[in-house]
Order: sequence, then structure tokens, then C-alpha cells
Amino acid sequence: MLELFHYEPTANSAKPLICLKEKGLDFVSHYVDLHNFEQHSPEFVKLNPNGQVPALKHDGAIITESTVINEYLDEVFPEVPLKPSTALGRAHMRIWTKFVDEYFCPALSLIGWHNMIKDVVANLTDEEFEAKIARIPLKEQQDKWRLAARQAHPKEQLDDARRKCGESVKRMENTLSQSDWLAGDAYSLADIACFPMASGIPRLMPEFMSEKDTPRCMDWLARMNARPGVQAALALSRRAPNIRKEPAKAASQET
Amino acid sequence: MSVDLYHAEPAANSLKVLLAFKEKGFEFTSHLVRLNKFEQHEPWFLKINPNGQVPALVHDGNVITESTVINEYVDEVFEGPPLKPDTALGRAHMRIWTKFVDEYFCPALSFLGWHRIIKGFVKDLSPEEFEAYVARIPLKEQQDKWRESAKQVWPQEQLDDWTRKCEVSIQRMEKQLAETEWLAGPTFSLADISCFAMAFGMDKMYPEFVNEKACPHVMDWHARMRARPGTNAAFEMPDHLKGATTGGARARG
Repeated sequence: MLELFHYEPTANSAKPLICLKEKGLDFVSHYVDLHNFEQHSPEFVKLNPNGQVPALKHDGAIITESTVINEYLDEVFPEVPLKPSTALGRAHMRIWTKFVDEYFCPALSLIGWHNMIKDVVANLTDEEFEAKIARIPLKEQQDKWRLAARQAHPKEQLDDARRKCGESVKRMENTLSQSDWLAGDAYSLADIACFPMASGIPRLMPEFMSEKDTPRCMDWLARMNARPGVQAALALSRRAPNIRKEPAKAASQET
Repeated sequence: MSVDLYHAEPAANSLKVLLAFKEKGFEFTSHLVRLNKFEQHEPWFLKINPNGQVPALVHDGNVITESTVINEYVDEVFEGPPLKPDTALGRAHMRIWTKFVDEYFCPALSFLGWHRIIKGFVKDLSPEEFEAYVARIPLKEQQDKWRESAKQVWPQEQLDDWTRKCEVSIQRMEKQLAETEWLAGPTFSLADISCFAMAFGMDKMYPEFVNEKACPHVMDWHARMRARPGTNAAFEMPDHLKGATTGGARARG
């Protein structure tokens, strides 16, 4: 049996959701509400001691880290392949998924947290907030929550994160000028990893992604949005569209 | 068939790929890129890797970068003993480790290494000469890292936090190695290669948290890793920086 513990179909939760839907796999969806700090609850921390979504449970085994989950799903359920057919193509794909994990996602995530967490904690007293923080297993995540809640990330750091989002889009545009998909001729986990990060950029940071400046990215986004698998994953959203427009929430996952 | 590996001394990310190559045991042409001569930022190398970083593999004319990606590629393409577990779950566990090294352990260790080493690389350069070298570096993040480590600007609090992360990494390894013989389970894999490329020699560099008492299973694993013929073959690669460091925590381009 397949079970996925996930948040909204954004950022790192969207990655396995799109993968599962592209493959047409049946799975039990467990919605973990980050707005209620459910990812730090004792029940969830038993599943993933890091207190992060997404997490996959397959026949009793737990697999964490969205990028690792997607490689696992593609190995175990190869019927609809989501990796290129050559070793070189797979290397290109992994350079992209790694770039998303190490550069694009952390930059976007920082901006997202800065924009969103203040609303998540708006109704908590200081004591209540600290009680929530005390349950977070990773020190880095505790620090990120505190800084975001207090709006204490320095402007210089936020500006640099924005710059990195711009660099990420440039890198995508460059690759998409040479091939239809990010890892070459075939749609792959590279596209799935970039899509949740890139999909909101034209609206949130139009200076980086627009028909005028990055036509190949815009075309790719349209092709991504037209895929039934992507649409099925996005349809799992439970929050109102106005909340989904917040940049941030995207980012409250994993990193 | 041509296999050309561009790499630095057998430490950190260059060691990571050298270990995999030597474990597989296939023939390749070694090209030493001298980081202390800033060769990784020279125009000839930027044609191979526009990011100006080692290691880089050129296989039959195709360039593959990023040590973790290179190792997955090498295991898929070349003959020799498999370096991935034989189950999908085992491979997932392996990739959680290789990812952890890339995102947490290696950056922390790398900043500490740069803080210690780069000042020696640049001590004979005038500020103008240094800036000319830095100006050739393609990635802004790498430019910043060179400037900051050369000027020794990182506050003690920052250095302490990187050291804390190294200790967290070792303790995470200890926990796993108390349960399984190798990091991804019962078989040696790229997870062990990734971690060893960072952890080797840390018992000398960080004896306060890498010792028999604090992490006996890591120490045992370290000894088993050190005894492997593949490891010894990797360490026989040229090391022009010997003496500049004592294991662990060396710089990457």
C-alpha cells in the first residue's frame, strides 16, 4: 500500500504528488496541515523524525525527502518512466533536481517563509509560539521559524534569495532554449522538481519570468500546466485560492 | 572510449569520485587541477565546466559535473562491482545520505576548511592579483566564499555553528552505524563513499567529537573504509597539498 503524507500541492509536497499522478498510482493521501504545525506533532515525528513533509509510506517502509521519494517511485513503478532513457540524460536530470534542492528551493523558501509565517503565527501568544517551536526536531528549522516569525531575516539576505530565484530562472531559460524539457527531449523528474518552484514566479516576481524576457520558460510552464498529471496533483489543494496565492506557503516544506 | 576525470587532491568532493572510480576499477585518464594555482577558473577548464568547479568527468566527449551525479552515472555505466544497494528501498536510504552530505555535512566542513586553508593560498598575492583571480570565478557564491575566507571575516559564532553541524553529521552516522554495517544497510555503497570523503581524518582534525568514546561505530567504519583497496588506490593519487591540511575539510573549487 502507498500512503503519502503531504501538504498543499506546492513546493516539495507537489513533487511526489505530481509524480504519483503522472504514474496514475493509487495512494492514500494524508494531509498534514502546516498551518496547525501538524508536521511537528508526536504522531508525525514518529513517521519522520525530522518533522518534515512529504513522507512516503510503502508497505510499511518510510521514505523521506521529496527528491529521493520521486527516484524511489520511478524505480518501483517504472510503467510510466519519468527518467530519461540514457545514463547521460539521467545525469542531466539529477543535476537539475540537485540544483533545485540546493539553490532554487532554499532561496524561494526563505522568501516564502518571510512572507507567510507571520500570518501563521499571528494569533499565537509568545508562549504558545515557543511551545510550538520547542517541538521542532531540527535546530535549523527552529531558527528559520523564529527568524521568519519575527521578520528578522536581514534585507540583504532576502535580496540575495531573490537574486538566486532570478538566476534559477535564467538557468532554466538557457536550457529550455536548447531542449523541450529540462533534462533533454523527454519529460522527467527534472521538470517535476522545477515546476512547483517556478510556477508562481511570473506572478510573484514578474521581473524574472515573463513572455517578453523568458518565452521558453513561459511555454514550458504552459505545457506543464496542460498535463493531466500536473492538473490532478494541483486539484488536491484544500486551501482557498486566495491563500494559495501567497508565495510563501509553498516554501514552508522540507527546507 | 575515453574517460577523463578532472579532479583535485584526494579530499572532499574530488576524493568522492576517485573512491568510486577506484572501487569500480576501470581505466581512466587523470587530470589534476591545481586549486592552489586557481586552475579551476582558467578559460580552458571553464570550457569543460562553466561553473569552474572540480570534479568533472568527460566520457566520450560528454561532460558530467557534480560529484554525487558523477558517482551515480559511473555506477550505471561502467563495469565493476555495484556501488548501489540491490533494493529500491536501500537505494533510497543511500540517496538520503548522499543528499545529506551535499546539503549539510559537506558545506559545513567546506567552510571550515576554506577558513583554514585559503589564507595560505593567497598570502603571496597582492590585493590586485587576488581580485584578478576572483574576477574569473563564474559563480557569485564562490566569489563570495573566496573573498570571505581570504579576508578571514567569518565570526566565531558562524565557525562554531559549522563545527556543530559536523558533529551532528558524525552523530547521525554513529546512530546509523550502530544499527547497520554500512550507512545504507548491509552493503557498502555510494553513501559510505560520500561520507568517507568528508569524514576521513576527522579523528585527527576534530578529536573532541570524533573518538572511540563519542562514536565507536564511526571509528570502526572509518578503519574498515581505510582498509579497502579502493580507498588506498584513491589516496595514491597525486597530493600536492600534503602538509597544507591534515585530512578532512579540504577545499573544493
